[in-house]
Amino acid sequence: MRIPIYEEITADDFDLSFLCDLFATKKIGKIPMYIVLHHLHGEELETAMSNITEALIMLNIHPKIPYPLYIVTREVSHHKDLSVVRSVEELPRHFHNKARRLRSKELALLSKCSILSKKLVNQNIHQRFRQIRKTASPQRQLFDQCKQTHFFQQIIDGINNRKPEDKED
Amino acid sequence: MNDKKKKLRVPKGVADSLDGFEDVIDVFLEEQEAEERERNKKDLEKHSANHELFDFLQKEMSRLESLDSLLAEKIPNMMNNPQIDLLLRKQQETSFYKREEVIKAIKTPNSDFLILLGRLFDSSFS
Repeated sequence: MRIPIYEEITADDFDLSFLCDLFATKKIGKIPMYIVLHHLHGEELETAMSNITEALIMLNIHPKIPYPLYIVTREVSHHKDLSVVRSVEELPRHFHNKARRLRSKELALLSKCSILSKKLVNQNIHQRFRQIRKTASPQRQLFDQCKQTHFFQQIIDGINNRKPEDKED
Repeated sequence: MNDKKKKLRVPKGVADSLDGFEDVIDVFLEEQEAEERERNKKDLEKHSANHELFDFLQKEMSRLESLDSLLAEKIPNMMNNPQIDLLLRKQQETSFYKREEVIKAIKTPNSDFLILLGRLFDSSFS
């Protein structure tokens, strides 16, 4: 396995079949990658992004787990499936590192990372995310209820902890 | 890094015989020190770069472990033993009783709320 640091994918064409072939040969999902789409605008950009999503689904690669695929463009601020950033400098700093020769300790760590990432790929990530989304609404309701209870408790504490001399004022 | 000049210690007898050569010795020592400083700097850079990579790989492993625990344990556990409805019901009940308690506290005749409300009315309508 290679050290998981950013690698750029360059594509001349954004047809679905071309993207499928390109992604199959690249290490998408095995290391963090990014595609710069500054040269695409409007409908072209939308088509390219939906084709990228479609190609990833066809190859059964999750766009974020274990390693993300970022789209670099200034035109769109977010996308429902893909992670979008405005420039290469805005990419998360975690994966910014220099590749160099590894020592035995680092090789051992890298092989553990490789096993873990393979383990993650073997799980049904899409299904797990669907399950999370299903419970999101009740979880939010629970959060609101807890917030409300905490608010009432704060009022009660305020009333109970008021000093007798304050009351006289 | 220490940029101070190294003081050369020589026995007294030898020091007398080196009179007049101080400048030459200084130049020679400065060159040696500069080389040593450069060598130390390179070693330090190399060491810190290796340490950075090791640290990065450790963080990466912990990130992957967390993801694995989320996907392989926490989510399936949450789906197999759903507790959200029970927790929500309990929390709604607690919230209801707390609200009742607040209302009861502010409705007592000498409560701060009623006193302040009275003052507000007095100042507005008197």
